[in-house]
Amino acid sequence: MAKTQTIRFRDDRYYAPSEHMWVKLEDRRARIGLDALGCWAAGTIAHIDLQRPAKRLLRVGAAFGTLEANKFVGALRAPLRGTILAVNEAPLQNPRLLNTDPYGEGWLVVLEPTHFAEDLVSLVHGREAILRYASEKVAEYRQRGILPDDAKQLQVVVQ
Amino acid sequence: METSPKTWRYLEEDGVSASAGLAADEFLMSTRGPVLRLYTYRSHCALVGKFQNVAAEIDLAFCRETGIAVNRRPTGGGAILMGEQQLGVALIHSSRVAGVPEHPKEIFGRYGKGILAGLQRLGVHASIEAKNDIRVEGRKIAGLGVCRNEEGTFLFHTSLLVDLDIDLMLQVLKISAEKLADKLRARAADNLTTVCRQLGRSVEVAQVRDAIRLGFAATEEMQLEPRGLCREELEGIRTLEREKYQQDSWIFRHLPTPDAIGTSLRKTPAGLLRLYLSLAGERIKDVTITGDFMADESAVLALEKALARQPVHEGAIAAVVSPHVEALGGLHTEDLVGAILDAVAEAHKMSSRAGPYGCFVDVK
Repeated sequence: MAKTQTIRFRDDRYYAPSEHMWVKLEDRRARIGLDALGCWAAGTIAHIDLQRPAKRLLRVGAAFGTLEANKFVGALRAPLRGTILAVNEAPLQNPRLLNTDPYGEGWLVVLEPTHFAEDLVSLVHGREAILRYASEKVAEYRQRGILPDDAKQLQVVVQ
Repeated sequence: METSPKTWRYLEEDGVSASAGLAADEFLMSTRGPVLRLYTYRSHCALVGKFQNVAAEIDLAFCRETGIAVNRRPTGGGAILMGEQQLGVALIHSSRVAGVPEHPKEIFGRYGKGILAGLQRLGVHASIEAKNDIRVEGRKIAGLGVCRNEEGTFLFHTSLLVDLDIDLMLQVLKISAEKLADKLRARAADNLTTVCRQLGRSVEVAQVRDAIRLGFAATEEMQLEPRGLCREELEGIRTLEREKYQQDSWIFRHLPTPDAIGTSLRKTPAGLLRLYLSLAGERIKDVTITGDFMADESAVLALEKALARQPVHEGAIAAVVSPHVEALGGLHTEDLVGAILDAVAEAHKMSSRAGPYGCFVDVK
C-alpha cells in the first residue's frame, strides 16, 4: 500500500502563496516562517542564512535570507513590509527544523510590519481559503512534476 | 508576462581568475539574461559552494603553497577544482519570463538537457541522475548548481570535466594519499569520469565548448549571439570582484551550520570496519564505509545513502542500519552503530578539521 504523505497547514496563520511563507500575528508583530508545502517541495533543507535584525526595511517579496536544498540556493522572501526584529537561531544551527517543525521551532524571523492591515489583505487566511490555496498548489506542482519522488499519495490537512 | 527571446547572448572566456569568473557570473544576473557563458578558469582554483566551510573542505595550506586560488560560489553544492580542463557553464535567465522554469527541479531538468545534448554530440551518452548530477554509466561527469535572487533571475552553473588531475583534486580537497585507504581513493576516482576518459582520447576544451553551445541552441531552439562584455559591464564586474569575491569576509565567511569530520576504526568478527563521516550541524552529511569485511558493494552503498541526512541519535542510526545488516557480510548492527557514533564523537572533537568531500568526490 502506498504511503500517504500529509502536508499540514495551521488555520491560525496567514499564507503568502508566491513566497510560501506563513505569518502569525502576535500583538503588533508578525512571526514568519516557510509553510510546510514550501519546505516539502524544496526537499531536505541543508542550510539557511537570515539577515540580521533591523538591517533594512523589507518590501513584499524582498529577500530576508537564503536557503540551500539539493544544490539550489534561493531567496527567502518577505510576505509583509517591515523590519526584522528577531531572528531564530535554531534553524540556522539545524536547518532540518524547517522540514520537521515548520510552524513551531522552525520559525524564521519576527517582523515589525509597517503596513500591516494593507499587506494582510493579499494573504490567504481562514480554513476554506487555506485548503483551496494548498490544494491548488499541490495540483499545480503535481502537474509540473516538481513534487518529491515519494509524493504518490498526498493529503492536505488544515488544523 | 514577457516571452523568452529567440536570441540569447553568448560569451566565451578562458583563463579567468576565480574572483573575476564568479563576479562576472553574478554581475550578469543583473542583466536578467538570457545569457550563456562558457568559460574556463586559470589553472587552478578551488571553489566551494555557498554554504560550505572553506577550512573544512579545502586544504588551504596546500593551496597557498601551490598557488591555487580559493573562492566561494553563489550557487549550492560541493567543492570543485576548476582549471583549463574543466568547462564552466553559466546560464542566466529569468523565471518571470513565460516558459522559463521556476522550480529548481525544473531548472535542473530543463538546462541539464543542454549539457546532455552537447555531450551527445561528442559521442558521450550521459543522463541526469539524483536530480542534479550528470553521469555517464553511473560516473559523475558534471556537477550542477543553481542560485536564484529575489527578482526571479537564476544562475545555472555547471562544471564539466573535460579532463581532470584526480590526484591534485584529492589533495586540494584534503584527501591526501596518506589519509586514505587505497580502496577509498580508488572508489573516489572510479565514481567520476571525464570527456577524455569516455572517448579514450585527448579532447580539446574548445571542441567540448562548441558541442555544449550547439547542444543548448538545439534544446532551447534559439540562436546564440556572441556579445562580449562592454566597458561598463567590465567596471561593474571589477567592482563586484573587489567588494565581494576578493574579500575574506565572503570567501571565509562564518557559517551557522559548521561541518565537521570524523573517522573510526573498529575490529569486528567480520573484519576491519573503517568509517569516514562528515556532519553538517547535528546530522550526517555523508558517510563512507570501508574495510576488509566481505560485503557486496551495492549493499554498502545503499546503507551509506540511507545514512545521509540522518540525525546523530543512536536510535535513529540503529533504525536506519538494522534493515541493511543482512546484506553486509556478517557485520552487526551494534558494530556499525558503534563505529558511526565513534566517528561522530571524533567529528565533534575535531570540528575545525577538514572534510573529505567535494562535488566530484562522492565516493558512493
